[in-house]
Amino acid sequence: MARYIVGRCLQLVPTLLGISIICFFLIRLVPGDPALAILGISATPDDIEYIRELYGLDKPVFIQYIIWVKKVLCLDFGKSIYSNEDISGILISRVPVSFQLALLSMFISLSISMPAGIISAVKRNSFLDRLICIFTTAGISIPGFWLGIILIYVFGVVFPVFPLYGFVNIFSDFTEGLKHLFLPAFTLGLSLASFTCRMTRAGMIGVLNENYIITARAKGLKEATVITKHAFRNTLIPLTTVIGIQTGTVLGGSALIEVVFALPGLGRLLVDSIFTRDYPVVQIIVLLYAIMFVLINLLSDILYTFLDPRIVYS
Amino acid sequence: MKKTITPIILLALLLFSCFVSASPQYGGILKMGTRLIQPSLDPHHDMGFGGFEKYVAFNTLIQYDQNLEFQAELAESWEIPDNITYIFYLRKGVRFHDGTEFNAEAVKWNFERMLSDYSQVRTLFDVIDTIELIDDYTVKIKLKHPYAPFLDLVASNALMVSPAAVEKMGNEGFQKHPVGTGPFVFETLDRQKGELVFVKNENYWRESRPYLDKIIIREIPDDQTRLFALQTGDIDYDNNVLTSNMDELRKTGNIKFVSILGKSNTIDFLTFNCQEEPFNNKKVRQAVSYALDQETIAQFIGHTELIYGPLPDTSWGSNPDKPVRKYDPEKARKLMIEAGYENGFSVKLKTWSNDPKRDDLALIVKEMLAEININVEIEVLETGTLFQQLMQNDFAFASMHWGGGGSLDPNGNLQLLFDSRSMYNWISNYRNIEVDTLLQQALEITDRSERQKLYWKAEELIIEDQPMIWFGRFVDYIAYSSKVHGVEPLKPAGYFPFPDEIWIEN
Repeated sequence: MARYIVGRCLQLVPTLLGISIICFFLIRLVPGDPALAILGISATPDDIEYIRELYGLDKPVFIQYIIWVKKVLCLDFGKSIYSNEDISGILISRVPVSFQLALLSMFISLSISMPAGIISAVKRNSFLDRLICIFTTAGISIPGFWLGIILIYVFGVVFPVFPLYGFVNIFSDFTEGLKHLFLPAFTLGLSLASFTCRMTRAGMIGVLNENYIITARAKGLKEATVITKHAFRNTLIPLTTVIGIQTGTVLGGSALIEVVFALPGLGRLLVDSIFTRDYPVVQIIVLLYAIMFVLINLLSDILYTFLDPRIVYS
Repeated sequence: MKKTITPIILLALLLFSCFVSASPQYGGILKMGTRLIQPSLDPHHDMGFGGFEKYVAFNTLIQYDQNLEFQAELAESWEIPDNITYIFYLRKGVRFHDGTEFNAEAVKWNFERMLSDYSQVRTLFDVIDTIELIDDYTVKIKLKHPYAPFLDLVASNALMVSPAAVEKMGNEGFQKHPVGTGPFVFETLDRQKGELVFVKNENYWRESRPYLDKIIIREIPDDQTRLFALQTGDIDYDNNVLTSNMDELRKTGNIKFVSILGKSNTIDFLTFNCQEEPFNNKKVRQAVSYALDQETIAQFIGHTELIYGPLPDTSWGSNPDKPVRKYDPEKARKLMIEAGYENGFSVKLKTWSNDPKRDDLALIVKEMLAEININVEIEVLETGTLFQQLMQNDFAFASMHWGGGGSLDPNGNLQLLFDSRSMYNWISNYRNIEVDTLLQQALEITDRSERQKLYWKAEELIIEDQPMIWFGRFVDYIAYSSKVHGVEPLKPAGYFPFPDEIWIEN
């Protein structure tokens, strides 16, 4: 097992190298110039030249890449062209926002979708199943930012239960933090839940028709035990994959939700940085995403062995 | 009927509020919502214009008043003995927020900082040759060559920062903790919360100012969310309201609006490439102008103020009786025939994305020009890309915007755009030696009425040549609670109100 984990971690190296090359060169292929994006029309040729020199953009791209990789390996992420701040400092303030939002929305998503999916499968074609079906279809098709604005209007303006926007760190003030995060997490959680709920339902329906379920029922097990221990546990394997991917996605932050709720998270940072052609920031964030995805995939692979003892890595 | 009543009611309300608001009150907190709190709060490290937050803690040597005349601020008076020498007599007893004294030494230090490599206003002040201390409260600045808008430059861009604070915190520290002589003192900046707080400067040099106890600036990037915040009173001042949201806000009531363009020389226009076919022919450019019905365009797009030349009517550089080309499709067709284009031609109109008003503009222009057989093909680009293509002379017809060149002086719209040697000449590639001479002369005379005559003449020539279509300018609004008063955008280059003039009714 340990060998497997080490091996997977080693696989990170070529993956990250590939991703770093792609994102480094791709962002530079996009037309536009950081100086122009920042200064707009009032950029003088002098200003443009100055910014190019300052950030080494006047050197050949290949050389720029080598310099950048060397620095990143020493954990020197450089400075943002746009804000002139250390990128590590920016990440320290942004990452907690996206992480807290991601964890809360995953929690909300799972606590809605799992029970709903199971009920839906067990009471297939009942009124309840149809109702859940309608909700999940809506949840998948409604855009998150729109739902966010509606939720702000209903729970912030008409019935002022929650604050309209903004971020308070959960670790510094738990209740305030939770209050501020609830609406955005709920918005995000709802659309994630719809998908997971469908997956759970489909998986459960498949499993409930298996012979071993009939056997379990035949030997007189309680229906609750049959469903949770025998059926649900077996649907967990495909679910873990989906949940893993979803976690990776939300950890990267959701740009639209972060803009609507004025949360200074990673997603908004990435989008803003792309618009200002803030190359160093874009590169680091994309790299960070890659690392997160690879690690989460690894984690879900390891989880499989616990969920299903038949899976053994060697 | 309804349409005419609303402005009348608004006007009545405005008059009424002027009457009521005769005596400002002290105290209160202004909560302002803004799209973005600038990454750097150091006015010398300024990428573009920045926002209101950049001006709260600072003063300039002189300042414009609402009639666009210069007023004393940190300089009590000034003198211009010849067209390259400017002498400023400073106000005595002014202190920076950190307690250090504001004097001639500090002024010299500030101008030197603005000219240093660190500064991003460097190119603006490049015209300065020497800065000389005459005594503790007198500074003499000599220019490399005559530059009449120098006072405008000082009023709009030369914000005085505390030398001691910069030396103590370093440039990077100062970007997060601005220290000046201004009406409000920096208190906190919380990027994660998106909140910037300034408190009243109890030792402000201007007696009985400011009125407010505190200014809280909150970063709310989404326009809709900011609107909700204004409606619920979470903020009472919104820096930038989408025009599509104005009706909604009017329904809420108790909200006042003021154009964000204020007294600025901001213009929106369509520009021709005057050196390339087909628009190198003046007749074709004039024909396009006759074929476009300004009033219909403004009505179609909405929230568009009409302009009739490269300067808005509010500028003293623009002749109120300038010749105007009115919509006349017959004349347009005739000019097209004279130019040898009776069968018309096809042309690409380059415009940029993310702006619904600009999309509408392109559409209606396409429709109108089809009438004179010009087939317009619309190409939508990103702003940076559009500027780049224009700079590389890769355009014939483009949709553009100009913010007055960072200045309230007519020079910012005339010399910068139309002098063939200007670094912004790429916007239309316009060349006219007579205009060049007039604009150059206007730079060398410091007397405003003399300069005005030259600008009026140049304006007339430029309008005759029609290197651009000045259809109007798109207006956005500042919206604020009706209990807030003293919001009169002017600074710098016309966009933001004076923070020490704002007050709140209890």
